[in-house]
Amino acid sequence: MRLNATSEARTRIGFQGEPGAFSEEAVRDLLGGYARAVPCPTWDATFAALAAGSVDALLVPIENSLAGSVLRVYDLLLEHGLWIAAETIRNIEHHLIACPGASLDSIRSVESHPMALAQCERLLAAHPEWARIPAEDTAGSARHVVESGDPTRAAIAGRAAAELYGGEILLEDIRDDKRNFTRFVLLLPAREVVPGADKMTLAMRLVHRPGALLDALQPFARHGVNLLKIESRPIHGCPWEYQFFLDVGAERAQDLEKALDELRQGAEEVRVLGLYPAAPTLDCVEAQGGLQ
Amino acid sequence: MRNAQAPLRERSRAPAVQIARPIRRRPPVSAAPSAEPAFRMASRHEGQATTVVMVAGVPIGAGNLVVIAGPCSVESRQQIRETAHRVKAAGALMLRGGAYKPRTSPYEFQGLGQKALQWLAEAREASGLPVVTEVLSPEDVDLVADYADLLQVGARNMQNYALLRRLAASTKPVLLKRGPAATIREWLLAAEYLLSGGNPNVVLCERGIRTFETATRNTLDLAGVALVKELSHLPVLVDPSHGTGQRRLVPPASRAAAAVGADGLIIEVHPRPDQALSDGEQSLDPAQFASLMTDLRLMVAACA
Repeated sequence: MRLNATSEARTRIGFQGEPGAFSEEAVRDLLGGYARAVPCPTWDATFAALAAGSVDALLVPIENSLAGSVLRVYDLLLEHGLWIAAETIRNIEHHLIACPGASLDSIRSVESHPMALAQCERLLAAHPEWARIPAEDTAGSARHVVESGDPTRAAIAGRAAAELYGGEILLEDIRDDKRNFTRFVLLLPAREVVPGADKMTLAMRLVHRPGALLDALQPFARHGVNLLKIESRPIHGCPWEYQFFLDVGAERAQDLEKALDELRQGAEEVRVLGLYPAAPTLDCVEAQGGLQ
Repeated sequence: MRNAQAPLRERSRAPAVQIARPIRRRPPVSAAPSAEPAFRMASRHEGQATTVVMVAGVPIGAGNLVVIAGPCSVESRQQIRETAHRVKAAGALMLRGGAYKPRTSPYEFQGLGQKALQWLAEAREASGLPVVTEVLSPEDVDLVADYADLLQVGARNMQNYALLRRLAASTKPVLLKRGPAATIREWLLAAEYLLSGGNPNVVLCERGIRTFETATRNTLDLAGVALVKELSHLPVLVDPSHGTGQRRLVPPASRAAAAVGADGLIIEVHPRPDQALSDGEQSLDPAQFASLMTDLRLMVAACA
C-alpha cells in the first residue's frame, strides 16, 4: 500500500465502529481524500477484514490521554503480526445529541460508549434524573437516538455523528476535561516505512528473573534513546507472566540500532512492531493554553 | 435538585429527587417591559431558551439547580480540602473559595493569594469539583484563570470596566455578581461589557443590595431575580449567604431562591464557622449545609 498514492482506487481503511465514529474522523485527519473508511462492527471483525483482504489497512485507537491504553488493540496487534506505519492524535470532543424537536427538558436517558459517559461525569452528576445507558459505540448511539425519534433519549458522540444522522446538538462540548486526546495508529499487513519516521514501537519478552526489566531498559539509557511509553500485557497461557510494549524515540537511527542489538542479547524475544513519524503534540499544548 | 452522592443508585426509587422544572422552565414573558436596545446581547428574545454555560462539564442554566459551596476564604490546604469533600458528599456540584479578598477595611484578612489558588486547584483534583474564585484586578486575570474554572467578579467590582474588558477577552466563563448599589439595568449593562467584548459565557449572581434595612446584611432582591430571568437569557445564581448575612436565614433564603427560578445557589460553608477568618457569621457548617440540601430536594420535588 502507498500512503501517498493518488490513484483512482482509494485505499480502504477499516475502523471499528459505525459511520461518524471518532476513528472515521481520524482516517480523514491522517489520509484525507486518499482513503475510504470502512466501518466494522467489532474489534475481531475489524482485524478479520484486514486478514481477509477486504480492507487495505486499519486505523485503530491505541491510547487515550485520560483513560490510558486500549489494551485489546495491543493484543490483536501482536496476534495478527501487523505493522504500525503512522499515528495521529485527535482531540475528542463530546456533544449531547438528540433527535430534532427534543430539548433539555424532554431528556430522560443518555446513551453512549461507557468511556464517553465517564468523560462527561459532571454533566451527568448535574442531571441525576437522566438514566445512563452504556452502548457499543458513540456514533452508533447517536444513530439509534435520532432514528428512534424519541425526544426522551439523548446520546453522547462527536459532531460528525450528529451531522451524519441529522441529530440536534442540545449541549456543546460537555467533556469534564478538555485535554482529552486519543492516539490512533495505522496498521498495515506488512512492513512499510515512510520518510521522516522518528518513533518506534516494539514488543519484548524477558526471562523471569530479578532485574530483567531493568537490564532490558538500560541499553536505551546508555545510548540516549528516549523511552516514550511502556505497557505490560499478560502472556496468554502463562499466568502472571507479561510481555512489554515500548515506544521509543528513533530520531538517531544508529543509537537506536545499537540499543536494540544490546536488548536482543538479553531478551527472550524482541519484535519491532512499527517505525513511523511521531504525531505532533502541538495541539495538546494549544488546548492546554486555552482550556476553555 | 441534585443528588450527586448517589445519582445512579437512587434514581429508580427516588424519581422525585429532581429539578424544579415547572418553576424555572416556564416560557419567558415576551417582549420584556424594560428591554432597551442597550441590552443587545444580554436580553432574552421571545421564545429564547436560557443560555447554558458549561463550567468544566457542569451545566449552569440547563434546567437543573447547581449548588456551589465552600468557604468565604481559602485558609489552609486542609480547610479547603475538607470542605470540598464535605460539600460534595452533600450534593454540591462546584467548590467556591476566596484567594483575593476585597475587604471593607484594609486591616482585615486580605486572602492568601496564589498559595490559596494552588490549594483550591488541589482540592479540585481531589474532589472532582470545578472551582470558582474571585479575581480582583485585570493584571490577576491570567494567573487566576490558570487555576479556576469560573472567574468571579465580586459585587464591589461589578462596574470595574477595566476588569470587565479584560475578562471579556478570557476564554473562561465569568460569574458576575450584582453590585450592592447597582440597579438591574446597570447589572445587565455590566454583563453587556463581557458579552460584547467576546465572552459569551456569563453567569449572573444576585447577592443582596443595600437598602435602609440594617437587620440583614443586605436585602436579597429575589423579585429582581425573577425579573432578570425574564429580561435576560443568561443563567442567574443567588448568594443567600451575603444576601442575608446570618447563618439561620441562609436556608429559607435558599429555598425561596430555588422557588423563584434561580439556576443555582452559591453558599458559604466552613468546616468550623466560629473559627473562620472571614464571614463566619453567615457560613453554614457541613452538617447544616447537608440538611439544607435535603430540604432543597424535598422542596424542589414538591414543585416538580
